[in-house]
Amino acid sequence: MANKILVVDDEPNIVLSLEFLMKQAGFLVRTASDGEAGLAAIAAEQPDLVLLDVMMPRKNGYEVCQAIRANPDWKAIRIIMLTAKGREVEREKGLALGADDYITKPFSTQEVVERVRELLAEAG
Amino acid sequence: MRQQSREYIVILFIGAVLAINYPVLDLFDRPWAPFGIPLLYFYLYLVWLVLIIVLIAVVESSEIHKSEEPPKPGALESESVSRSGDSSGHPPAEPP
Amino acid sequence: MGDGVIIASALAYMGVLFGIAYYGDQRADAGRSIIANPYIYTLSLAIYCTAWTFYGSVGLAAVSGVDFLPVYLGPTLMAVLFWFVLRRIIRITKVHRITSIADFIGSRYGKSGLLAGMVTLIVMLGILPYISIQLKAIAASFSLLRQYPEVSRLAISTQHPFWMDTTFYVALVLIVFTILFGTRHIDNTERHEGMVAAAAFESLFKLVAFVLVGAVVTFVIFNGPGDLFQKAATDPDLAPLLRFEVVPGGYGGWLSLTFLSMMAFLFLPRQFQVLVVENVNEAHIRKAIWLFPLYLFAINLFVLPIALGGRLVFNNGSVDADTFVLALPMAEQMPLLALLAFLGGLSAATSMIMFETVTLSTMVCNDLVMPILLRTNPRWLAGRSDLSGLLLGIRRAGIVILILLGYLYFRFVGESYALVASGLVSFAAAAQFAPPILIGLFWKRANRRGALIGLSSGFVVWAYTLFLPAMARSGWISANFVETGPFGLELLKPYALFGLEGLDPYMHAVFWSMLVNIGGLVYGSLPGRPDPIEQVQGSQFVDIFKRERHDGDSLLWRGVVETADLYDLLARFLGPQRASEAFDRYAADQGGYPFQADSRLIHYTERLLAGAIGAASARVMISSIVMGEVLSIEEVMTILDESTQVLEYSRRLEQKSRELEAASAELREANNRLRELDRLKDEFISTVTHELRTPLTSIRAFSEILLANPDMEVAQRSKFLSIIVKESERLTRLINQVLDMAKIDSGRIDWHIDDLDLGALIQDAINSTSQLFHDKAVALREDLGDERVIIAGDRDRLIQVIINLLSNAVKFCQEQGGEVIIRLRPSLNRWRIEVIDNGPGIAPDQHKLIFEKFHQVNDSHAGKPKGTGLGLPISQKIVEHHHGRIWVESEIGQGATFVVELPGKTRDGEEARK
Repeated sequence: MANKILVVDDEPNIVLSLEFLMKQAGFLVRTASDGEAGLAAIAAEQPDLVLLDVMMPRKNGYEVCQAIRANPDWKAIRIIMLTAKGREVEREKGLALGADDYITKPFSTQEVVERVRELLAEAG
Repeated sequence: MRQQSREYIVILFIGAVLAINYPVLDLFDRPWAPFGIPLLYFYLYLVWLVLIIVLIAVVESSEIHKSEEPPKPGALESESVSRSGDSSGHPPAEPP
Repeated sequence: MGDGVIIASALAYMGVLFGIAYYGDQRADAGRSIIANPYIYTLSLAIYCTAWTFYGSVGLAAVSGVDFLPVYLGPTLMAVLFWFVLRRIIRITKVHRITSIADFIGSRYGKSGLLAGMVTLIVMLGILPYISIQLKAIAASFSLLRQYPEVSRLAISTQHPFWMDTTFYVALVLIVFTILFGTRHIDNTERHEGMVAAAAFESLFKLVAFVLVGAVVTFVIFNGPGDLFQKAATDPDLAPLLRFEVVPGGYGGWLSLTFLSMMAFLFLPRQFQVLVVENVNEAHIRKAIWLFPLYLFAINLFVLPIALGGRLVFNNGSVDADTFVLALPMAEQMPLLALLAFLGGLSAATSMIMFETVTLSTMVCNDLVMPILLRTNPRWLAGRSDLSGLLLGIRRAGIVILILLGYLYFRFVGESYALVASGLVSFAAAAQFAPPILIGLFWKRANRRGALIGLSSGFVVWAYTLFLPAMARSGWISANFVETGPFGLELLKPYALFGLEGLDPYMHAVFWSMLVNIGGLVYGSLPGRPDPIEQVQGSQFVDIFKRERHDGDSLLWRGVVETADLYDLLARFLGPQRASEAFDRYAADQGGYPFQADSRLIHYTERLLAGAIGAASARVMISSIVMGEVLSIEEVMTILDESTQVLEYSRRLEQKSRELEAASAELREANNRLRELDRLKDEFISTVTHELRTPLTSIRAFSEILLANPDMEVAQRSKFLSIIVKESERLTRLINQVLDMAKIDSGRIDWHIDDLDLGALIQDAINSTSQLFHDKAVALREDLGDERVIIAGDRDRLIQVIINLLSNAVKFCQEQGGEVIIRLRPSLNRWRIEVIDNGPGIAPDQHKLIFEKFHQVNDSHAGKPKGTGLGLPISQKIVEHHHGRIWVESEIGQGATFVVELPGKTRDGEEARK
């Protein structure tokens, strides 16, 4: 069964590109354009992995990450943070909050796909 | 009294001395009588009155500086007495 | 008027005075002083105005016109200097428990008994004429009044024996009252609250009496001052009185009289007593500085009117001008007013005599008799257990002798001399104390030798140039002495010493006596090294406000004495009761006293003793029982200076730390500002980076997708390509904005100013944003009016501003039913462009901040900032360059209105400038 991936970002073009890439890699893809919509989608769709933007209206990426980790039912969900802020602290903050990986924008499309695959393989 | 008030007072004193002596006084030794009062007297009393009014303004407008407050009678007595025995030369522990 | 009536009212008046004094003493003993306020203090200073003022000023004005004024202008000038001079003297006096002017001078110069005694002698001799004129005034006014309703010139006869002489009985009554008032007990501070209260009352009484007489003369006898002066001016005898020419000695005499009065006001013994010794609180000086001159002003207001009135009424010279104050009411048949005037004069005279003699008798006792007894008859003194009775006896005897001497002077000398003349002789004597006191206050090195030389030579010159000529005038010495000099030596003529001619006698005397006095003081002080005690005292007096310990004088001995011996000594002079009270107080303060007295107890005792018998005598007494080594002057000065230095050091330290504190506060603030700027910059870079990365992300992602999928459908490919193009445009826009900002900030921008049609310009801006409105489904209402509005400006920049405002408005509008209004309105000679949205609004505290670079409204719910934080700052810069203003009006939840105000073109086509 194909893994289900949720893309949460407020930039429609970025969502579009990620959606295309993930579909091409053979995953099921769902999207959301802000934090709250993202959480609602997680509840509804139970994705295996979330690609999560940090700077978003109505709950930013960190808040969403915290909310996911606070829910024991969602323990298995993998989280990859995406951010345009490239500073080391941002990365550490994301990892500290329970993110599994961290990708800086602009990203290499290949790398994104690889990282997603790796994480899902680890999870078995 | 503030430094400024002190300066005013010195200036006032010098001004008053000049105003009531030769040669300024000589200017007012004239046969004229404003309000029916001989000019010489009119002038002298006027200077006097103005001096008093300025003094009121200077003195009453300035508050006493803390260090200028006289020591309290009792405190003075016991204070100076209590320190007089200290003939070993140690300075008092704290400034007033 | 019957003798009975006059005597009865005089005695009744004295009774009232005594009542006041008694009450004042009672209250003082109960610790609730009635004189502890600046008004009583000021009034008590007015004992300066004696019978000399009350009668003599008028007498003087009647012959010398304005010449009476310097006597009151001098003290007025001195009052101006109170804060510098008087306060210093008072502080020293309190700290060192000084009891009189003789004590002050003696203490200053090493507790010199010799100096104190010399001062006392000078005062006695110098003051006698002054006391005698008071007696004369009382007697003369009494003799005049008893003849009522007759008014005539009368010489007070000294022909009949003294027991038939009214003045003698006046003197006797005064002796009794003075003893009752002034010597009730020996006090260790030598203060007389009751007497001060009585003096204050007397000052008030004489003022009222004099002003009342003056007012009646001016307004009842004559028709106001205009009428009076008019009449005087037309009288050839009186007209000169209105001018300066009648002043004897001219301007020089005037100046020397002013100087004499200044000094006498401070240094006459009774003045020193009320000004300094009786002062309850230094702060009272502040009020007195202006209130006392006001008193003098008031009491002098009617002097000339009374003098001129007297001359006009008694135009045949039938009445002595010195008695006009009394004679005028009598001549006008006003018995009550005449009686009031008599009592006013009486109060002026009695307050002077009582205060002067009590003060003088204390000086005579402390500085003349006791030192002599202590030196010549110590055994006789030692045999007595309680000396306070002896002290009182000496003082009472002093009072009796002084008043009787004053009477004798009056009877044998004073007859021939007018009131003012003898008063001035006394003034000149008192002025001799000015150099040793004033110079001693500010010059540490002034020493005893100098003071002795200066004071004695000043005194000799005074006696020679003023006192002896006065004797000569009354026939006790040959008049040739004045006319041709002693033994015919012209150079030594007392009024023209060494050929110094042409000066008025007082100026002449002031010049010579001050010259030798000051010269002697300086000459004597310069060479040699002063005694330890002189050094200590000099330093303690001069540095009174700097030092905080004032016991250097006692540090000089570190002797051994038993406490019991000190107590016995004190008890002998103060009486056992007061002595044990004093020791109890000490024990209460210090928690008991040692068996072997330490230097603090010795110092305490010495000061108490000084209050009773003067500093010099107290020192002799203490040294007679304290045995042992003497601390060297170096040690004492070190102790004193150390405390001074500590004081100075800590003062400077305090100032330094205050400065440091201020500096570090400034630094902290600057640092905070820097840190805030740094934070803003950091945030800006981070924001810009983020904004740059976002479009870049899309561009890269789609480029890679296109690259990896060469055989993509055409429709999808062109969609992805158009995204890449749009995101590239976005990137360009952003970079342009950052560059714009940098250009504007550094002033490297080119402005193209043309005449612009504002309405058309706005329309252009609307057109370029219409897509934005369409995308977000926001309605735009235009309200631009019909008028053609021409302004001068840079078209592209202004469009940039309006586009920025419009796109902001769209961004912040409600998602549903968003509406933006754009309006163009005239406002005076300016134009307002308003852009109104119905978004969430902006809190008032943000209104200014949003125009700051890098600032963005940070709202956690707003999430991602909706711009670079540069749009508004750029807009502001542009608008300001056009001499316009931009601001926002908004409340939370009420939407926001951005307003741009630009100057319109004036009629002559020039750009309106602010």
